[in-house]
Amino acid sequence: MDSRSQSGARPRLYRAAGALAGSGFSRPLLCVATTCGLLATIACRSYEPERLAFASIVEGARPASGDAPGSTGVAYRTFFDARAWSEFWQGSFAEAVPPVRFEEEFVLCLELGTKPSGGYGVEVRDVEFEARTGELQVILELLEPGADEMVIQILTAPYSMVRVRAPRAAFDRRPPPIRFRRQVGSERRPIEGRCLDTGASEPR
Amino acid sequence: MMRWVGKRVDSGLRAAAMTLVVLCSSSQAQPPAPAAPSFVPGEILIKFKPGTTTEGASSVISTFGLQPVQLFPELDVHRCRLPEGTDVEAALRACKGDATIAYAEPNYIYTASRLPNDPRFAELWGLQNDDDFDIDAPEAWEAQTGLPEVLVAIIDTGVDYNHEDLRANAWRNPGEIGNGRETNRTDDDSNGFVDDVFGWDFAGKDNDPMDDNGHGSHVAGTIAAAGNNGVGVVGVNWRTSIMALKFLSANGSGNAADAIDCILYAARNGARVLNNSWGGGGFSQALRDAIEFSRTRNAVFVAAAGNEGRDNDRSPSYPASYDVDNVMSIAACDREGQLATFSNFGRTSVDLAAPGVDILSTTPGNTYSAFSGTSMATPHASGVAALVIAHFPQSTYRQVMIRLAGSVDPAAPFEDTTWNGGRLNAAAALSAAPQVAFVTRAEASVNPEGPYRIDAEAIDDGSIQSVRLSYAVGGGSPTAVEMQSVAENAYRAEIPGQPAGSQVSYFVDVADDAGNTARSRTYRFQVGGNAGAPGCSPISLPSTMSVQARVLSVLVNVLLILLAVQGARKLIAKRSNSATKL
Repeated sequence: MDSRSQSGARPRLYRAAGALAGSGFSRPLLCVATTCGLLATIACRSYEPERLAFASIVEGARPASGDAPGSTGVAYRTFFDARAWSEFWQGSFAEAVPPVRFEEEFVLCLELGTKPSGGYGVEVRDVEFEARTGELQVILELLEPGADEMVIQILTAPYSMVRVRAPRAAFDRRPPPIRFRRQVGSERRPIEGRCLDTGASEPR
Repeated sequence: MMRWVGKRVDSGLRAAAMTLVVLCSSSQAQPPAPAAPSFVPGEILIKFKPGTTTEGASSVISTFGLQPVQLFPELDVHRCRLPEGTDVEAALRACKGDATIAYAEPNYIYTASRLPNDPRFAELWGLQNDDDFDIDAPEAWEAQTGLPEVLVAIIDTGVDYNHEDLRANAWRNPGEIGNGRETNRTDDDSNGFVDDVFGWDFAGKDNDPMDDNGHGSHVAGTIAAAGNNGVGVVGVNWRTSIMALKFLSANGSGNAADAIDCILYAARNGARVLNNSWGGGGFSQALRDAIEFSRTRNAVFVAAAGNEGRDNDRSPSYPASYDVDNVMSIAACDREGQLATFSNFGRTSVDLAAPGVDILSTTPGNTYSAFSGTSMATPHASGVAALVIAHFPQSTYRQVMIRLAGSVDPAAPFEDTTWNGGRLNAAAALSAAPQVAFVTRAEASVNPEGPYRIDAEAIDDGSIQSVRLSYAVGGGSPTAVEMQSVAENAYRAEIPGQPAGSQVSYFVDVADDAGNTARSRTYRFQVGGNAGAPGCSPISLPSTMSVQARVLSVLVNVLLILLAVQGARKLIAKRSNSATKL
């Protein structure tokens, strides 16, 4: 799995406490300060989203039928069990069903709206879990044909499927509410997400 | 079921590599099925001249060895069976020599139209549908179903030349097949490419233009999925030769250099139609030069207008917008006969519309899928161009284009969105009647001084007797002027200048020597009106002076002014001298 590293917050207060110890503060005061620091660190950590490891299963663009391009946003589905995943995959692809360890992973399938030609795509850049709200935040990169690129003149719907390492038990709500953001340079802009799962819970 | 096209990026889950096809002589094209006879074999109908007795008729019938089958007493026509093995045409020739026979003719088979037995034909709304927003393919097939001698280049993502519905029509380079030449790693035909049997893959730089996306195979199926073979779908051509040229990679994109390679290869190797269901990349002089080269090789370059829903007159979409006169730009229409919502358009830059929404065709691995885009409209037009070439083999590229553009079904949604104002019609394109197309339309400026130059192009399978421009000002009666031939199939006339604000309408009539006629749409413009205003088509003014004449005129004027100034100065100086003397 091409996993992304998990980066937690550095306990900067430890270092601050060490500095204080060398500066002549009394031991009880130092203990209180250290304890406060630890609690503050834990509190901070619980509010910082946790980056989840993920791996791409497939990405591309399927030909879109009909004649109504221009829809924006992203439609998505989640799979937490092998049977539903297998049925979905076999409905779209001829290849064997890609294995997923559902005891510790789930599948997130994304599809963009209709695009006017080939050359468009969507890639998952990051998946973050915010324990406080129980929400997933998915960071996407949207690809477009380059200025000098020649592309097929067919309506397409770009898609991406990823395995995300996070046991189902990690989510209070199943499927979990998901917010999508598009990475544009250093900025993350919100994109509308539409859940296609039955009985899905909407992001708050 | 639609098959998704994607790239597998998880190394552990990669799909098996596509099996390379062994290029061997056993994969030769199947010979096309013989054309069905249009009359009942072994039977003729005979009518005897008035005064011929029943005995006399019976005697003639038995003399020719015919067996009477049926008599139509009201008509005195005999239906007769020929002796075993006798050719119908030979029997008719013999009958013509008999003095008692008024006429003899085959027992013709009449059908409403020629329908193929391909099981999914009914799903091909672009070829035939009940609302008639189709290209009238069955009616066209009455006259022509295509010929394998006509070579159509698919410049795209490749073609699945092993597809059950494409295999029979895949081009096999005659210089690279037979006696093991397919795989001998030698450029047997000295065309610069080794073992190029089906075409070439310019994206992968090899001899296997197999489709790894699906788009190219879909396009190929619309042009030439084998017809009447009892399998899958049918193309506009039942038979033709598809040259597979790949420059777009699996994700459907490519670059100008590889596109140029494809165009040059197609032109050099005899393709008469180049299908280009791709776009983007801006203007490239080199690409334009390549298209120009294909023009010199008598090829029609058919290109997708684009899917951004924009006006190509204002914002060009290449290659459809290149100003080379073998380029045909194709918009997409839907099954309701409307311009597709995504389709680009252009009153002067898009030639016509063709079906391009939910088009079913061949996709790799013996599958079939419905796609949408001007990519799908373009091969309908390419297919009809190939039919026209099969039917009128001496046609130049421009004559093929006139036939396609002049035979459109005129319809309101395309009046101001395409140059020729209608939808593709295959049957009309094959008609023996004259066609008129590419009549001058809206341009940037108008001027009351006039005159207004009108150009038109016309064609006929015989010879054209006359081409007339008729124009009317306001609600007045029309005035007709003969258009002069200015080049092969090209005609020109002028409408004299009109007062500002005048509404001028005009159309072009063509008549051939057999008395057949054709009329263009009626176009309108307002003198001094705004270009692009709805319902009017202001046209450009031809300059009454050449550029050289204008420059000369300016120089003469400047010289005269200088002379006048000089003369005035001398006069003033003379007067002042006189004054001083005084």
